[in-house]
Amino acid sequence: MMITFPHMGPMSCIVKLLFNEFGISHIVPPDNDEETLQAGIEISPEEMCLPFKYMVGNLKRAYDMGADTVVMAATCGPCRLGEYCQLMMDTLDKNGYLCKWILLDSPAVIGRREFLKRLSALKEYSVLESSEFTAIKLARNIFCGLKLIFKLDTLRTKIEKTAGYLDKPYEAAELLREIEEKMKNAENFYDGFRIIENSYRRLKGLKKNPEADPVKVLITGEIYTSIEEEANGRLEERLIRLGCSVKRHLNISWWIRHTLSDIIFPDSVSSIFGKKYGIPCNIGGYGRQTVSKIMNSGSFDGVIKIMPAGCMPEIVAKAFCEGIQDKQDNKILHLIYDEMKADAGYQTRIEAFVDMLERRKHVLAGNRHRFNKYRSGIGG
Amino acid sequence: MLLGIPRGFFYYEYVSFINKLFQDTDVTIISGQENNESTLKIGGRLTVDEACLPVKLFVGQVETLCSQCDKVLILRVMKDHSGGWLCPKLLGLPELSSRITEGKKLLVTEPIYFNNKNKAKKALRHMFKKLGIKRDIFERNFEKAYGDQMKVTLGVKKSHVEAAWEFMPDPPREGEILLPNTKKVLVLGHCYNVYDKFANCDIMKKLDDLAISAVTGSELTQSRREEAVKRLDLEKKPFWEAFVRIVGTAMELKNNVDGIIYLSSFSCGIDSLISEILKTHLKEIPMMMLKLDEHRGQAGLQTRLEAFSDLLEKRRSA
Repeated sequence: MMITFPHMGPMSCIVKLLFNEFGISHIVPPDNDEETLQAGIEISPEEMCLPFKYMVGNLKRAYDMGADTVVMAATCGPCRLGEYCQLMMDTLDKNGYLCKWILLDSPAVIGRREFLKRLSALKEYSVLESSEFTAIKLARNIFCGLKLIFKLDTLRTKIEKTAGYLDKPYEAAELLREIEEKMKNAENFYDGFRIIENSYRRLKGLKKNPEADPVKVLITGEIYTSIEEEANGRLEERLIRLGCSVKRHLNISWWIRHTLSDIIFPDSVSSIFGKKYGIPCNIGGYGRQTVSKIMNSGSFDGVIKIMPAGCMPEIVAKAFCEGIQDKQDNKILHLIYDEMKADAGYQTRIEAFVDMLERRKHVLAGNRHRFNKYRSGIGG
Repeated sequence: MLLGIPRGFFYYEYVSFINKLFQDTDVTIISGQENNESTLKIGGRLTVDEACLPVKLFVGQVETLCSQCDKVLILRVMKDHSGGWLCPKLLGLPELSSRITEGKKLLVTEPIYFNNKNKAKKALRHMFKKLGIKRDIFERNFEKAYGDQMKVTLGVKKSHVEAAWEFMPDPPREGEILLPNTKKVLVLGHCYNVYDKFANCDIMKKLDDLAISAVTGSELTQSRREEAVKRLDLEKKPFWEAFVRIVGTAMELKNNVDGIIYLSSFSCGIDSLISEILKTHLKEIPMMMLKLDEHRGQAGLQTRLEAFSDLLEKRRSA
């Protein structure tokens, strides 16, 4: 009786810690890498998008390690993600990986009672007595989990933002890797919080370059490829090593905030406060949010929009972005990821893009400034 | 005023709805021409590369109509009468066609949820107000159009479903005399692939030439399809209307046909999922996937159809 779950960035660390607290026996699949993808490609249908293949790879490898039950959250929206679990079940069953499934659909669709019933199925996997599942314990641990994920995301955002201002930007990249590594080995929430505190101290100790004026890049796009480092070929690290100050729009804490605020402030309410989207309705996934983020990306020098090949909402977003580019003169690089991991190709494109931004920022903009001064001099 | 309706996507299901909506008004409706090479060429130029064939054809239609009409109507249908979601690309059709030259001529409706009558009415009323059509005319037209559309989508009455057959080159008639050993093939797929002669390279005619009788299952009612899907005992309740439509039709008719041809556009997200689920649950019946894209080579298609026909023949005699 072993539970497993597909990876999704730092989420797996938090879920692991939560399961630890409740004594639920579980297996975390090996980290996403080339082998995971290969395992996924072997049995998954050719046309499915990249996240599906990674997830199948995760589950397959976890099954080989002894897991027999899968926990997965799912949506019921218009995007393909909602039907993943059905196809995953079929695919894994067909190839002899027989698992039990616990699907956590959104309570609004399947009903609250059904949701709680499915959730309570997790109890059977715990070594604890059922009397030990008190509401207080549950609330405390979930609160800790949320707090940890929020802190972790804040730390990451801060490191990525500061990276460009450091004397040696690669130190930030190394720090990020180190945090990731340490979080995986954390035993409980206390460990997690300590790692974060230590990392803040480390970040403060890094030497800054007072004259730095780095290129600011916004990363946005599809959520899985944004969050899962391996799926986007470690895009942030590449940018940091090129000396950029990076901001990633989508992370787990954004997703939590977004989901909650959607419940509290539906569209009709948020439109009163003047919140504007380019696309007037939800088109599935986070295509709509991507577009609105790009429309309001004035403080950034450039935008990198990423998506897995064939992602339906992001194709719509891409079409719309071209219009934005025409109107607002944003610099957008579209990167599309699939199972072909041609690192050199991506590296070249990213480098060229950053070079272009740097040139615009330092050469063209600087000249314009001087030009304006010259003109005002004549006018005066 | 001339109002153009592009011949693509929602056209095949909602054309009678739109016609009824604009009855007794000064709006003249112009349907787009049948798709052809130039539509595809224009559409391919104006939209992103990743989009599927129907999207490119649709954008081509919009661009062509823009030069002929005062306004071009794009319905943004979110859910149909059965409450199923439409494909994300269909939800974003106005965005996908935002690069056309005369963007101001686009008349985009607010999101329409057909499963909720009041919401649908509200969304359309805004559009009518903009066009300056009187409210009482709208109210009257909407009641009729909405009711009839429900019958088309859910297939309550046979005569209403027949309205959808006008796109079929040769609608199957009751009591039609078939030769005793005519092969019957179920042509599956989205309506904009099955009914569009250009997109599917006129597959109906090709099948006819091979003496295969094509069935599309459009006469099935929605409730029968839903029951057929229920019998599959899926873990997850499907949320796409296309899922119920296609899988339900296949499950309902699998015992009455010799084979299935699945028409799917290249890189269609919904088809990539549905076809896999069909493959899992339809083991005993031959199924051929035909991918449609911009390459209009007919010879390859012909060869595959002939091979499929031979296969059906062999299975029969065996």
